[in-house]
Amino acid sequence: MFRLDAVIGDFPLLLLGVPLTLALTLAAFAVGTLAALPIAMTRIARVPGLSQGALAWIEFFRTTPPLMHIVWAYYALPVIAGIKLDAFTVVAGALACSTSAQMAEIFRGGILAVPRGQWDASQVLGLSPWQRLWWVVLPQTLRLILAPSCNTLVSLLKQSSLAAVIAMPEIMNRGWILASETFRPIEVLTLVAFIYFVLTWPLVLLAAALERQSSLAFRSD
Amino acid sequence: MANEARKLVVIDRVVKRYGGETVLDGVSLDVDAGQVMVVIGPSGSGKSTLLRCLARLEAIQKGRILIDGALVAKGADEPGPAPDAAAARLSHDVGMVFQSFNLFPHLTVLENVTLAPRRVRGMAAAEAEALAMELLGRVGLEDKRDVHPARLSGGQQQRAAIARALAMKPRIMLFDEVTSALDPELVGEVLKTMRGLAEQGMTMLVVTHEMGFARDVADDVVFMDRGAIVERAPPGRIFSQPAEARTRAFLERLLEREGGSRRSR
Repeated sequence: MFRLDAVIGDFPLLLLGVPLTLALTLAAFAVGTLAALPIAMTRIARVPGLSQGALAWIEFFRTTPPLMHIVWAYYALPVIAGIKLDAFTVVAGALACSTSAQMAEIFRGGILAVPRGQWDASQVLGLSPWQRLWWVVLPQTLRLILAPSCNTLVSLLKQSSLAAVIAMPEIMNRGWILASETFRPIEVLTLVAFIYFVLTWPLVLLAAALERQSSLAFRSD
Repeated sequence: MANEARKLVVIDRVVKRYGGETVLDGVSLDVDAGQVMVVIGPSGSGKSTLLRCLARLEAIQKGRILIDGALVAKGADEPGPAPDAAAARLSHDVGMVFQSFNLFPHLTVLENVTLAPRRVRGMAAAEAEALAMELLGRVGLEDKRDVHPARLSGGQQQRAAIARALAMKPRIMLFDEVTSALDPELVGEVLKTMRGLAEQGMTMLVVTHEMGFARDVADDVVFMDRGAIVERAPPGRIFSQPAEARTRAFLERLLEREGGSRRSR
């Protein structure tokens, strides 16, 4: 029997996990996005050696699951390298790495989508390569990548639930514990899903709105 | 060398290749200060590439380009030191207007014009704005200062692009088929702006298919074909009695295409 009322009293307990979920998500997103821009630039600039390194980084984190990175960094790193990281750093770091790979590709696409003529015009005006990037290309890139970045943030928020495997008391972990205490896993997980839905739905709407806006702003004349 | 010093632009045996294709095949051309030079020729003749080399947007494989006596670009096998890229960039000697306008879509018209004076020259905001408003007045766009390019007509965008290029006070202005992307009824306003510039003594190198403009404004017309300059002559001569058969064939084709529907401007 599905009886939500049997666990609804414990709902506040689940909500206590929201701050940690958000903190993990935002930390991973901020670090990952900041790292993504230099990675994307390295890839575009075709610096011998560095570009291949950037590509290897991107491909590794795009093709391997973050769950593996978390478990590996938490359990293997102390044994192999003697590096003991706290759980927050492990999860936020692992998610930041895969976010950096994804965002680097988004940045790269956004930078390459800015027409060549924008670089040409700003070059003839005397702007240095960095000034061209900063004042002309990146502002246009940012508009183009707002929507995909928003989608990355949504999937990151859901992936932060992987922290549960190393017993970080975020939403999912609290759900597991509550489920085993109440013997009502279906009801508890339904509540957990509801919380994730409430957190991500506004972002999904925002991404859709941004997509409409950018397609309007960049319509060809 | 004494002769070169009087020339504002000296293009000397320039060869430009893309991969295996030779786009400019030993082009030599010089432009005096205050001269308006119109470059005509079929598509693929290297006209636009010549402008892009002058604007340092393309490297050249052979030959030299000098502006006001200073080396702008040279081929690898030319003697002497390579031009200093940063110094060349900061000399602001060349302004360029493009076929596709290339205004910065995220900036207003005013910001488009003030960006380079502020960021490259370090000009104060108020000073840059005063300069921009004077230039926007010259191209008739004062009332569009706070509008984004997407809200302007093609002709207005191109005039804004001219104002933007002038803001860096270039010694020479390059125009690369600047009316080709415009609706016919908008071509006139851009050409009028360019005539005004020519009358004020601006040195101009203009790649165009507007033969009316060439006839009226050019001091010299250059006909290019297959990466080389075929003929250079004042418009009165090149249009009435071209010396080269290729020039004549090109002009005849052009007149045929324009036919009876030729607009007078």
